[in-house]
Amino acid sequence: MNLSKNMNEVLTGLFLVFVALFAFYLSWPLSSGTEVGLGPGFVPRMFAFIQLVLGIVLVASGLSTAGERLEAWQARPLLLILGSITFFAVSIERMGLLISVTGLVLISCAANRDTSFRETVILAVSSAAASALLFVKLLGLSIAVFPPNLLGN
Amino acid sequence: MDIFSGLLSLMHGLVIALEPMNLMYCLIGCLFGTLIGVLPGLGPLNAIAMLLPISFYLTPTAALIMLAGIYYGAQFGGSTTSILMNMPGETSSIVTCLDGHQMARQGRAGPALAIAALGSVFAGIVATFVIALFAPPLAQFALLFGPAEYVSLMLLGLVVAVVLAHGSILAALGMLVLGLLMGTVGIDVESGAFRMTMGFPELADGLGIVPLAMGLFGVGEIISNLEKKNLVGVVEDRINHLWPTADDFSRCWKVVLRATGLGSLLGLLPGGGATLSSFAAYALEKKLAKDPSRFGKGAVEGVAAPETANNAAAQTSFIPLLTLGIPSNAVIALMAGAMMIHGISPGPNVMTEKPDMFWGLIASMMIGNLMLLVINLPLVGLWVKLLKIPYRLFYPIILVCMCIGVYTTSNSGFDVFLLVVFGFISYLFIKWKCEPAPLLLAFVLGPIIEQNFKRALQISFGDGLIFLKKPISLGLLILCVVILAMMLLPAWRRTREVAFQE
Repeated sequence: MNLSKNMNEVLTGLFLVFVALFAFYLSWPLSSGTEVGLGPGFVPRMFAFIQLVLGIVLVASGLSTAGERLEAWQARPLLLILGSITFFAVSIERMGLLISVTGLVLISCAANRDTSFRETVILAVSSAAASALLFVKLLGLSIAVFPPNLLGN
Repeated sequence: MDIFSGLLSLMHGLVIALEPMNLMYCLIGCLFGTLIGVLPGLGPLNAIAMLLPISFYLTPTAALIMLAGIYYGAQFGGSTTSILMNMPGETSSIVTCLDGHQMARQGRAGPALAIAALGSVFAGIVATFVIALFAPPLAQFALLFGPAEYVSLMLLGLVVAVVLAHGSILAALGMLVLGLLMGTVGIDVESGAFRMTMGFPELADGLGIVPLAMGLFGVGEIISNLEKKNLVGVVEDRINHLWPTADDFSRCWKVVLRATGLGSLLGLLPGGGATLSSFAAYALEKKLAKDPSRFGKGAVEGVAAPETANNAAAQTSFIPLLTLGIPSNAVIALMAGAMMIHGISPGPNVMTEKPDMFWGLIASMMIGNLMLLVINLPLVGLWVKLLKIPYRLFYPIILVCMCIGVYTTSNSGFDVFLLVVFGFISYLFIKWKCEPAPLLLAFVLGPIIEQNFKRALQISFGDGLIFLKKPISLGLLILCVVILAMMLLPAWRRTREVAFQE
């Protein structure tokens, strides 16, 4: 194994620094406190500050020690799995449960090369039907099964 | 609190747990927990997150009974996968693979499963009594705690969680603070100000715990599983006989007793729980064994110890939640979330204000363990069949359950978007070898810490030294500092790494 810097720590540190700075930006308008007590901005900024310091320490520590090599990313599963959930998020309110579950399964199955087209279709249709039956009929969760605008509103 | 009244309350709880509805949800929880435990890559955390939305429709007692059933049910199911496939169904069953799978390869899968199940039931029933006896006095003691003591106690819990996380200590600390920071999003209770909501009204109540937990522990896991080439495991399905031999029993009864004790103890520890105790129990038995070289080659003790300990710990880890209001690990943190959704704030008052729920929950664990024995042993063939479903057909179904679960918690697509965001973040953490468990724990504890922190300062008229002036609080803080200092010292760091490698 080629040991160089501990890049995992460096990247984690940078991530923490980035989020801390973002939190500072977001909590900027909030007041720190009055003479009566602490304001809404005090605690978030306190945590953000600690996180900033920790992030910097992590970067420094990562640069000065050896560690494992970074793991490579694979685009296909990452994009398609996140994509399938995004599709569900966008479609559930507009198109109802059947369409969004079918889409979710179709897209997520594409994330794995070995899944055949036939399997994908069967899985998509059966999970759409099963989730409508289980979650809406049996458990009574309030989700629209069909596209709402089809029913004329 | 004397022993007698504790037992009396337990009897009362039994009556409640035996009500048909509660009994049914206990069974559902145990079945679902076993299912989750058996399936590799799905843990109690995902399962509880998935069923959380459904639990809104139940009474708080039924909801908690069901969710608890999932947690200890998963400890049972996890052993099946470890023994038959050499793949941990559950993080707390990792060590069970070592000897359990060897036993299976020697054609002794049945006895391995039986010992694991019998040990678990024994531990589960003993742990129930431990809770019944120790929870009331602890809750009494906790009533003495003021806000300052609470802040220090929770900090200690978080520090211990960091110590027990895998990987770099600094990264675990970072995860912890990130969780605290994320917990501050939403309306400030005192001033009513919107904090860091980026203008999204959906964030007024804060980031949702369901999308956070499922994103961190579900989505990233699926993506990284798909990256691995080999998803197919080999199932050893030759289960000829179940009953262990007399030799197995004579080897195991002491092990089971010790593991029950150790597991019950480690379950109490903040940051502890099922996983830690399974490792500890295995290590202990290996140390105590006359012939340690048998371990790893199919020693029945190596199955009994971790499986007994993890079940004991899964149950006693409810004690800190029910008495101090402090979740000791990420699963229990979700349970705290479930209680809060039902309008119950976890803490010493639960026992006095909701005795039916408290004792019903505890007694249900005893019934649940007996159910699990039936679910796991005679029905083991069913679970074996389930293990043969390939992952490629399985992960889309998990995704469907997660998406619907997240959507129904708030009935908005917004939380599903959060699931995407947290899913991506968890993928980053997996790649960077960060364990996000401290994050979730801190996320749940953060708002409670903040409230108590502010209350403590109000009581002391803004004197920040109040945390050092109260003796209990001071003691807890010193303990925090000592633990942190020890962990950051290079020598200790190394021992910890060695300990985790074992």
